[in-house]
Amino acid sequence: MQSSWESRSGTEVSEFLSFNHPHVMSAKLTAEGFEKSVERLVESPLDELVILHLRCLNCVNQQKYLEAYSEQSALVQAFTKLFQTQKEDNWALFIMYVISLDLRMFAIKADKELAKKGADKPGQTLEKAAECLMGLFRVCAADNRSSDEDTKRWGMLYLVNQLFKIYFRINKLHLCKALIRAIDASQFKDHFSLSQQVTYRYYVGRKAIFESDFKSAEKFLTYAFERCHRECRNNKRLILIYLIPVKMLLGHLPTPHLLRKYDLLQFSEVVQAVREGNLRRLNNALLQHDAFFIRCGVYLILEKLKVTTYRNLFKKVTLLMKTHQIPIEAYLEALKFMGVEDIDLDETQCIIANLIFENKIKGYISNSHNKLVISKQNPFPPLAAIMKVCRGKEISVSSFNLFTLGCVDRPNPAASQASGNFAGEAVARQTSTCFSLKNNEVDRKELINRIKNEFLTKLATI
Amino acid sequence: MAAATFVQGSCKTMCPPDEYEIRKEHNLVRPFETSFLSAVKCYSRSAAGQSAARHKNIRDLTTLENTVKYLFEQVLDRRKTSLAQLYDFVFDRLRAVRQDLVVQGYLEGFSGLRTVTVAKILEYCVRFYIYFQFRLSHLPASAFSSHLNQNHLDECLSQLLHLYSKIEVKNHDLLHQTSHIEIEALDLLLSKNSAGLHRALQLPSKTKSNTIVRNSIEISISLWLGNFVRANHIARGLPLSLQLAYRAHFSLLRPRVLEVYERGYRSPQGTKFPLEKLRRYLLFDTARQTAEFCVDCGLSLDDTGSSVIFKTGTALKFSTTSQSNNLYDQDFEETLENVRVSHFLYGQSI
Repeated sequence: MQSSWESRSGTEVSEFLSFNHPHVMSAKLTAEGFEKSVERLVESPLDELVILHLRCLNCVNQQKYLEAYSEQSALVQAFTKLFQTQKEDNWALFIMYVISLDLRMFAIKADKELAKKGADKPGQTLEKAAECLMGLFRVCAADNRSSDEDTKRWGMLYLVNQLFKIYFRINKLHLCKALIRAIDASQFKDHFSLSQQVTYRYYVGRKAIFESDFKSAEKFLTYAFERCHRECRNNKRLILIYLIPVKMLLGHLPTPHLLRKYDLLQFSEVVQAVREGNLRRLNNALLQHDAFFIRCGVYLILEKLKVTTYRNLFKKVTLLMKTHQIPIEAYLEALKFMGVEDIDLDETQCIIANLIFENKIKGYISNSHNKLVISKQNPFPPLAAIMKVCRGKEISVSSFNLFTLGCVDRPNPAASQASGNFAGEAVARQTSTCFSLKNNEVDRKELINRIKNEFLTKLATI
Repeated sequence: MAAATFVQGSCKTMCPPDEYEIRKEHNLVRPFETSFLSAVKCYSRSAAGQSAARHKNIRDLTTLENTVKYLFEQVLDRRKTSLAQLYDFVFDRLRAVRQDLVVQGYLEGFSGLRTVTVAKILEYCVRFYIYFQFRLSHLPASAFSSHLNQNHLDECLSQLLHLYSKIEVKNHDLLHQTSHIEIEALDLLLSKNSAGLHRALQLPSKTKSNTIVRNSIEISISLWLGNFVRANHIARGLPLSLQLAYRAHFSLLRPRVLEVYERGYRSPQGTKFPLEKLRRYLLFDTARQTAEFCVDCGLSLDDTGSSVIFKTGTALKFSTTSQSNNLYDQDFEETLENVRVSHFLYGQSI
């Protein structure tokens, strides 16, 4: 140990101080009076580290994790002081990696111990661990005088990832913001090791989901998935749990093959339901695996897929009606058929208005005739194309700036009038159509019956 | 947390005698406070470097509870002056009550049954803020600061949720003596982003299966998906305090609702949309208020003044208009007039 230290072999020393290394199995290390032996054999400052490590080992062997945590915490703090004094040098980064990891692991176990005893605040040890690691982080971040080779700033991303893991576990995501800013500002941003980058993007992607910033989430999670080593199946699966719902929201459904390959069949029912526009199936799918979805934190995005499902359902209805002015009743009947309870025209209009607002339907609702008048050209634009344009922020008061018009890209009114895209104009000029714009009660009743008899059965078979 | 920094209050009157003397001398006694017995300690920024005798000026828990009951039953219920003036007085005195709770450490640690009492007091405060948020919303900013009221409501709610989590860990059964279900639902309905929903979804299944909580979750999800109609519909079945909270929150969404309908109904030739229908969607009390709101947002009305015109090419502009935060509703006013204020505040109108 002493010789490794003297030769500044970071990896070797780190092995001796890590709990992953087989040396922890040896009983000889924690025999009585080991402290004196250490002091004899090893020089300061290393001796303090070794003693703390062995004390910690002692606690772990007795399964006293709260005490193990304190020892490890003292170790980290001693190391931090030591680390700071090593000017223009970063060989000890390897040590930093292992002791930080162990710190977090012991904090988790200590919190479990506290929980059994009826603790005050869940996750309090983890919070302390985070503060400890922040101390280390500051030492690394502040090292901007050294050369690129020797700077401690290389350790920043590893620590940020450890901190992310803690913050996500104790549900304090807002604390991630400052760290993200620090990494974004770093010149080494794209030069950290690939595995660290993948982990980083995984957490930043998850944070983006939580804030409903789905476009960014897709970017980060795709990077993470594509660059994650193919043998880390578990990690790839974890990334997919978040990437799949985000991509579905943006208009891309996963293949059954993908779901099978990564054992994510919980999503297959959802995917089928959305594809068919089958609301009933979607609701059942969400119910069936709600515990899993809620635990992972993707339940809300999947709920949002209802909007996509409405769109797919309404597209089918529109195609079946074979006209450009569809009575709202048609959509209402379809929704009722799909098992939506207690729904009326008001609500149907609201759903349709939202789809138009989000550019998913090109057209407008005629209030006086209670019809949806759709564009003759591409009234249901493909979702993937729309999502590129619209920033897609959902309703949340905090993100809704009262002084802007919201996220919608408004089509140039002059252009659409010139190209005659709106069927309404064309129809106004015509006099004979299957469904005239006059409000004809008899036609309407007949129409509703027609809908019920004909196409609802067709709808079921599509 | 060092318990030594917390004081144990010993004052057994609603107003500490010292303070009453000082205020009387400086003519700072309010009309409500006709004598020492009806004087209530007022709010003051906590002074640093308090003397050892500080505990004499801090009311103990029982006194605090009685003070709140006095404020509700003898001041609010008696209704001797305008609602706005009653609000002013009680708001300040409640703030002082909460301050006394804080300095005694009641919002930090767990003190058994006393924590339940503290929770109850905070619950009364939460309902107080919601009640007046609703009833005074139509007043100009000079008469009622909805912003300040909202801040205190938010603060109180987060303190309450914190207390609930402590009670849950230390003595789960005590939780049933509080109104935690109502408050969890309230917190969700007032939440300004999806964080509230994330939290609500992770509540224990026993809480989640409660009708009120379940409905509140459904309302929040409906709003999140843009289905205002469904949200409004479900909200009608909520208990009174939750309905008021829902409406208070909904008023913030009005610009968005108008945007969606404008976009969904506008046509190149201009669609006429009946104000009466829009009124229902925007939860306004009268068509006139709806019209005012639309015009303020840059829309025009038709010749009869009974419809608003949605036409392609109109640019909507949003600013805090006179109507955007107006929660006034005739039906609710009548209901609230017939409910004793203290009943509502004690949570008896559920």
